[in-house]
Amino acid sequence: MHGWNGKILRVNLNKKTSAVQSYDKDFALNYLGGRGFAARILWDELPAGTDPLSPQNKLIFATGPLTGLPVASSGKIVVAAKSPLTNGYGDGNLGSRAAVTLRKAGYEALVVEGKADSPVYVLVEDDSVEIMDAKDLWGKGTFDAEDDLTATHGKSAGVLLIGQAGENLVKFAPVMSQKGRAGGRPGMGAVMGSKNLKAVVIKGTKDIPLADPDSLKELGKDAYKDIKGKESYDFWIRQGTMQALEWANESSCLPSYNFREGVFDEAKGIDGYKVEELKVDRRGCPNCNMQCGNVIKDVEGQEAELDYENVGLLGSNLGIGNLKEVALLNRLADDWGIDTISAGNIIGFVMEASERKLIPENYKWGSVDDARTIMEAIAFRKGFGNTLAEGVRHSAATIGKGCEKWAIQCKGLECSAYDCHAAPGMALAFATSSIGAHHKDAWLISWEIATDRSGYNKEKVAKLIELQQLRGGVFESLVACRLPWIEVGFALDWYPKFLKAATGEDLSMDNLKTAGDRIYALIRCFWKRENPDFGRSWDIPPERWFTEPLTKGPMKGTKVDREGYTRMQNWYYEMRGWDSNGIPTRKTLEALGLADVAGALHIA
Amino acid sequence: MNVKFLGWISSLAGRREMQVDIDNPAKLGDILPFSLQGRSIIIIVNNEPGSGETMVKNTDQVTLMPVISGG
Repeated sequence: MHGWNGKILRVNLNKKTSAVQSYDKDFALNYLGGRGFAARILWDELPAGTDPLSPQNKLIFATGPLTGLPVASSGKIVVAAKSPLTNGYGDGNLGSRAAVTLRKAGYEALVVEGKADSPVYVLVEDDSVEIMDAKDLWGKGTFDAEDDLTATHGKSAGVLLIGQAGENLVKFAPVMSQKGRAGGRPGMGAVMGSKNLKAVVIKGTKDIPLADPDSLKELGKDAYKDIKGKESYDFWIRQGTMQALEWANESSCLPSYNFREGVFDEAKGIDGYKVEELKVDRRGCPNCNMQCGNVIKDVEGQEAELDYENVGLLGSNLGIGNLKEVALLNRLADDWGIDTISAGNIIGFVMEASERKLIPENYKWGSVDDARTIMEAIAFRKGFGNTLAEGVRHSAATIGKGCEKWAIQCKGLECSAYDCHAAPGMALAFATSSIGAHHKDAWLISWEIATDRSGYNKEKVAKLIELQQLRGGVFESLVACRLPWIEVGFALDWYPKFLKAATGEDLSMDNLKTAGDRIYALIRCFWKRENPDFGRSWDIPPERWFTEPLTKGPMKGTKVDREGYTRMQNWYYEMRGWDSNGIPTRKTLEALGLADVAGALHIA
Repeated sequence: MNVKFLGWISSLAGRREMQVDIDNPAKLGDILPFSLQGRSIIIIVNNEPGSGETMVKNTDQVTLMPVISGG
């Protein structure tokens, strides 16, 4: 087989053993890699009802057929497990040398099973696999721990690890790498912590088997050149994703004050132009010529890597208009290994609860000290932080008194930095995303604003599904970064060409989209199996967007119309081939080659 | 008429904002300092989607934005 190594490495922490499992071309073509591999493995191997923080859960690190190749933005890895935050399928991707080294060690995926008796890390060096003592690393932040591991194993080693938040089983702790890269928002870091697994260190020196390495090398060169030649490239290098802050503020979708508003009076203090003023460095993932990590010095003089999501949630959503203060919060989150999006969302929720005097603590909007206090309480599970560490849905249920209406989450995952009062299609995107409210799958807002943001129509739903196929299906499974495609206009037809040279297979975009549909349907069925009451009531965005209109900005007075939303939800299920409760029909599953899944769920 | 250029569109326009006085309604595409042809740009006129063909007048607020992908 070309393009794929055809091997999955398995490590069992209970038994202190490892094994290599082969897979065939059918599996590769049907599930591609990354998210597709992870979803199928979790479906096949996880007993229904598995406690996500038990040794029975499986933590999967998965790459795809483009990972680590000399093509644009291919240095990413997916980390997946059953989520302790949502009790459904959870995953995320992050850029890391470990993505490249895992492939070069000869594997597409690493599956970690069981639980170690004491803190360990897994060391993979090509065919050698060792379970190493990590007692000296336990309790350290991700920055120091990664430095220690790199000092021991060399700079060529890829490191994936958790901070104190993952150790403390904070349910939105992600997996971290390279001091600022994070993936697996729905608690993949907590799953890692539950296994007493501090880190995975991977070194690889082998060649990835390719169908036509010369053509791939030439294509890769041409592609990098194509990206650099785009007229939006220079500006991207200046601001990266931070250009979205001005964009979102002008479009009334910048989350402000716990998603009450879509505009922020102090936006200029935290936007991409402010980043340009303060920038001291730029970081990125391996194999990328669009490095998007903007590094500035925070209020304590330490370096912090910023992107739009961090700044939207830890800045405007908390009423903080000083970028150096936002950077401090961001650095602490990265070091403690806590998700910046969920953290900003929950801190905003707490500030609002305090303002409404629903909790005894007195926290103020705009106070970086208060935000830091709350974040530290979460990361170390101190006091009320122990409740907040369970996520905003759980926290709202604990406080009660109607605050569930302004707990900004879908399926238990806190929303990314796009307020949807005036973007009903994006609200549907968040609500139907396969991991909860995350922008990776959930994306329509740019197209929606460009075409018809107030409408509730079938065109919007069809576009959402197409974008989910591509973003959540294809890119997450190949595994490649989506940013070159949309941000600088790198054409999608490069990807079948890359795949042809890598694998020798003729895979059209339609083939890839079908694989995306297969993966989406399988994930949907996973949610149903793990949550018997799963259905359309799980696909509803936060109540605030339906009932509390914006009070400021050009879209003042706007909110989501519930009837219009319900119509789009119905069309979404119809177009997906799912029943009126949002469950894939047997016909749909059979057409996607998932008859066994239909049978397991007893779908008639 | 006020025109805002966001993101990389500001590089294209050579400025972040432009004030234009027009005596009579005109096609937006005829007023801009660059061609829209072959470019993927979101055009908003008074909070509504527009295009280069949209007829604009002196009191209008126009925003040209890049297509973005999220952070």
